[in-house]
Amino acid sequence: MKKYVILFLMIMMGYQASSYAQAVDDRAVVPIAVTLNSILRLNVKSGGNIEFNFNNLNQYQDGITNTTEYDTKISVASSVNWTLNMGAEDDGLLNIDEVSSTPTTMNRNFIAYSVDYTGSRADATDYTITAGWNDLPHLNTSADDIITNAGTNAGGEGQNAFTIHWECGTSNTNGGSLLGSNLTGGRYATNVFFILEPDTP
Amino acid sequence: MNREVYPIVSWINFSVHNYGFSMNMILGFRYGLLLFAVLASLNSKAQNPTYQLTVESGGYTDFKIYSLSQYEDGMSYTNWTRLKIVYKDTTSGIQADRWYLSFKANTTAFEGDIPSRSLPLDYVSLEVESLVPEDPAATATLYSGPHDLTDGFVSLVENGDEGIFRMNITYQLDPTLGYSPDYYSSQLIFKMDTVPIL
Repeated sequence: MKKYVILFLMIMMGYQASSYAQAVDDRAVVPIAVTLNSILRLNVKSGGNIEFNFNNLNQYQDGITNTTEYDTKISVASSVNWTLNMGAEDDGLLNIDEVSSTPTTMNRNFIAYSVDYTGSRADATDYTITAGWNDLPHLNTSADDIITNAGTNAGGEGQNAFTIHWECGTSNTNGGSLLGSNLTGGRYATNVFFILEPDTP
Repeated sequence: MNREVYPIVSWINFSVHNYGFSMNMILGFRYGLLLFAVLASLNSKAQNPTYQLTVESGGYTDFKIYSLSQYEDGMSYTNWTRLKIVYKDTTSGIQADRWYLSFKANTTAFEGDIPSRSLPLDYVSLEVESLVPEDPAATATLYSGPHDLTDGFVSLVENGDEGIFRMNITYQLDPTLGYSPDYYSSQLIFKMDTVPIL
């Protein structure tokens, strides 16, 4: 019995010891945040005003083919994936020398464009670029998504650089030759809008 | 009379019979001894340990991304948060516990202000740049290198000695190019544990 009592006392003392040898913890909290500010910029670096001057019958006959003078260089800086949309302000190019509520217009399909990637990425697989030659679309009715995301096209303007080639009255246009088009002499113009949009998350 | 504890009387009988003590005195002594044993055990553990985890500076961390280079390269805040850890046993003079430090986020992702937007926690990592005890003899084992933020506790320091320690913490944000602009937030919880030395 004495042994039991001694054991009891040892258990009691051990219990007391263990009741104080408890793990404790203290905590501190640090709020942590990431603020991502939107970056979405379209730069027209050159070719902001394209003008085709038809001075001879050959040009009327064959049109004015693309050279660097008829290029528009653009770049995009964006923190998110994006889509570039393009279209003419007017349904046709307006004769700006006429004072009329219904001026003579030149059909948009005499103007064609194509897009090349000129950025610094190894290839253009991050983009879907409208292929070949296409008629100038109308902003309100037929605007083209000329460049869309096909991977991750977010990046700087060095990566997202493109050249838009323009032609007028050539075989690459659906309107074809201006010869015999019955257009009166004059200056026909329209604004082309580029609309850069972030892809929805 | 509690007969069950009678043997203890027999046990101490040897020392008291020779001095002519009565049975009542013996029994009183028996209870006194028991009480003394329990109280003594209480007294021996009446320590006064101090344990404290304090954020001395850098109590708020906000990565502000406003340029494409920051989007592409990420950014870091070096030695941004300074933590102070105090573990002292002021009475016993013998270290009874060791301390551990860990961290976690209290959400499963950085949550954007727009509910559909979130940023994975592992875009942020943290690293203890320095762990300095006030007493140069005190030691602790540091898990060096960057540790990604998760929603489960990740160990930073273990087996810390008694004393006061300070540590600087560096935060790193990975490239976030492609993520929608928003304010993404979470809370970083540091936890100091003490575990008895067996």
